[in-house]
Amino acid sequence: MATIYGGYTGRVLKIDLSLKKIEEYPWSDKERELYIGGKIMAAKILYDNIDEKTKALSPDNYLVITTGPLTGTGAPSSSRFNISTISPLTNLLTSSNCGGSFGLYLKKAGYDGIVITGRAENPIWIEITDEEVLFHDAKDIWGLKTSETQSVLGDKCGRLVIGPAGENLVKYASAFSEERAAGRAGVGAVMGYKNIKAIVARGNHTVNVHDKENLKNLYKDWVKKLKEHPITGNQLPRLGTAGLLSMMNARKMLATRNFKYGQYKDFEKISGEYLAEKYLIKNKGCLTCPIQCGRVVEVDGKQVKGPELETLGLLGANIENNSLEHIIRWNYVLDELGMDTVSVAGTIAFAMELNEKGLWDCGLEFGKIDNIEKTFEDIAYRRGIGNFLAEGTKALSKMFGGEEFAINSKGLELAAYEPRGAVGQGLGYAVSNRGGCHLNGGYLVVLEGLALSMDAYTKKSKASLTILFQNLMEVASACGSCLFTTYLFIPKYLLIHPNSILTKLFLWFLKNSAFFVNIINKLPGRFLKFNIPNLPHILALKYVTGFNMNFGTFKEIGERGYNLERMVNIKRGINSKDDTLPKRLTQEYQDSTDKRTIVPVEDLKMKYYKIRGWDKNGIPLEKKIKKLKVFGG
Amino acid sequence: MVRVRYFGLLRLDIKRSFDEIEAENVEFLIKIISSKYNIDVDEIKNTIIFVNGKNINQLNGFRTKLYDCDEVQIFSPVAGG
Ligand code: SF4
Repeated sequence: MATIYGGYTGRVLKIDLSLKKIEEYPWSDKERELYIGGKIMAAKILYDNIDEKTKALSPDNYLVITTGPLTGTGAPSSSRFNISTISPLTNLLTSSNCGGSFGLYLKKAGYDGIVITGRAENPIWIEITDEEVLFHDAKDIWGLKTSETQSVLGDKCGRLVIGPAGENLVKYASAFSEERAAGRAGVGAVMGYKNIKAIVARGNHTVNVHDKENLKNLYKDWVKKLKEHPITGNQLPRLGTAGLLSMMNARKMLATRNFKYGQYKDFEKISGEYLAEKYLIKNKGCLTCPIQCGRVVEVDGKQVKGPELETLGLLGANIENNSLEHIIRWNYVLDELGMDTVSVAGTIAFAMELNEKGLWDCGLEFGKIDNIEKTFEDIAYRRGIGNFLAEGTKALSKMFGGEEFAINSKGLELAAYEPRGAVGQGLGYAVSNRGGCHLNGGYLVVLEGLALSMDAYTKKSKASLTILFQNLMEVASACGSCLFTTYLFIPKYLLIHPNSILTKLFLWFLKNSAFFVNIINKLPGRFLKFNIPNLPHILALKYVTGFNMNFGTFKEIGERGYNLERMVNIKRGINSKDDTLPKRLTQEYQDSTDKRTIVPVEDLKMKYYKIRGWDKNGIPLEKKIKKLKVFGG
Repeated sequence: MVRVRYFGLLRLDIKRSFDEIEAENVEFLIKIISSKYNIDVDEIKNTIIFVNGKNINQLNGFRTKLYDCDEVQIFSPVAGG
């Protein structure tokens, strides 16, 4: 459906693989205004098309690939695209964001998104151009690893592929575009089930923007801001996300030995500093990004992507492995096999503890690393114990027990932040729409000890701040922007003067900010008609699309998106009892002498629901849904 | 001797991860590090400092006393990712 707005091609492609039918998915300008794009647009499409019974691995599941309006307009760090579906790992909605070039090329092919349903009879790869959509036999590339597959498909196009893990329906298989992954919760398995080995997009379509002149100046200023900000201009380019690990250890937030502890004695050997000193060849990153947070390292004489913080923490401290060299290699092996490093590492750590406790004699042991690489292969090809591990932590706990230390939320393994050292992050993990995800959880750990030193253990203001951050990150992501661009929101002064009186005062205020933050959280957007220069996404959206945009409208779109995703999950049958964490994190003190060191999840959750306008069961109230126009209107 | 460990960008800048320094408090330690690596005192005062695992802001700030074998961790001021 054609659009009057800039930033969009105005077309969404629908493919029914079972019927081999190609048509346009109806998506109106009204929906563009309400849901922008990316994960929010995808949530609406999923809500409209799946029901409580739709199985993740069934022809009825929808795989929705969407871009945001800023993608393809030259916006800094905004080349990202999103894949949403019902996850085979959680059985709930998942949205997985990826920085590869596929989104840009999809727009060049003339589409804002692709909606795929059904299942192909045999393995295929799909070619999408501005003229046609073709299905090709994939028997010659089935079985290839992710980089081999991409090189066979050629260049000057956007490629989205799966590896053997996706083909073999590993529940946490990822999809890849270049070296970047749509990593979490098994979007690769859904592609594999649908018999899609790859999707290729190319074309010459260009995206119009509403106000070219203002946009040019805004983008220039945006890049300048990113380059001048201490996190995006200095820390991330020089140390990557890996640079957080040492600080996490100091703050007792580094998941260690299957989240039993928050500190690892050998943390320095797997740190970002050590990576930079010994292995870093150069920086690399997503297209159109001035930050370039990715690392390039060498494996088998090849220059490949280096591990991110999550991988370092979870394949290091959490399994008590202090060999960075092995982590670098494993990271490469896992990318090639096409699976999520976070979930596979979490699952292996859980299996190690099951073994230690005599619950499952699987041969995996903390600190023993000689069988890890083979285990990855066994998982990808579902051989031996790999066939069990391929099901993920929650499924393993149902088979062998140990639920109290099965570190997941709603079936998704937690990221590397140990939440007993950052209770706001703990709340985030518990309530997050996609399960144990740090980012979808609101990423409060940034305030609780990474960038700022807010009291990590207090319950005060944590629910309010979590909601604010979740909503803002939701809409920034829907624009097509990398979430790291939202760091501009943190005032530079606080970062470069961590010990000043002013910073201490601010941190005190933050701890007591619930009242003020809730005004922002609860006030309808029309009362917040101002702009925030450090969130350039707002004006960028306005200049790109022509929408009437201000902070109020912006945060309301985020809130609508978060509630919409919640409603997909409610449809799938979740309620308050699913917003939780394993007992290890809510009942076992991280430090037995310090009663603050558990996640008080029940208390925090009730506050969170109340501020969000959800009932005690975690279900959004009807009046909230109506007011936010979650389903349109 | 106090054991000092450097982290973050500071460590990349001074190209050193570890020192053993004699100092009676954090303030004094900062002065020694400043002259040793030719870094402005204020710059080091704007780092995040832990003494035996505790942020000096929860102890006695720059006046936090140091004893033999104490471990001081110094982080460059930013850690976001
Ligand atoms: S900051 Fe990193 S992840 Fe984000 S767009 Fe840039 S390179 Fe990609």
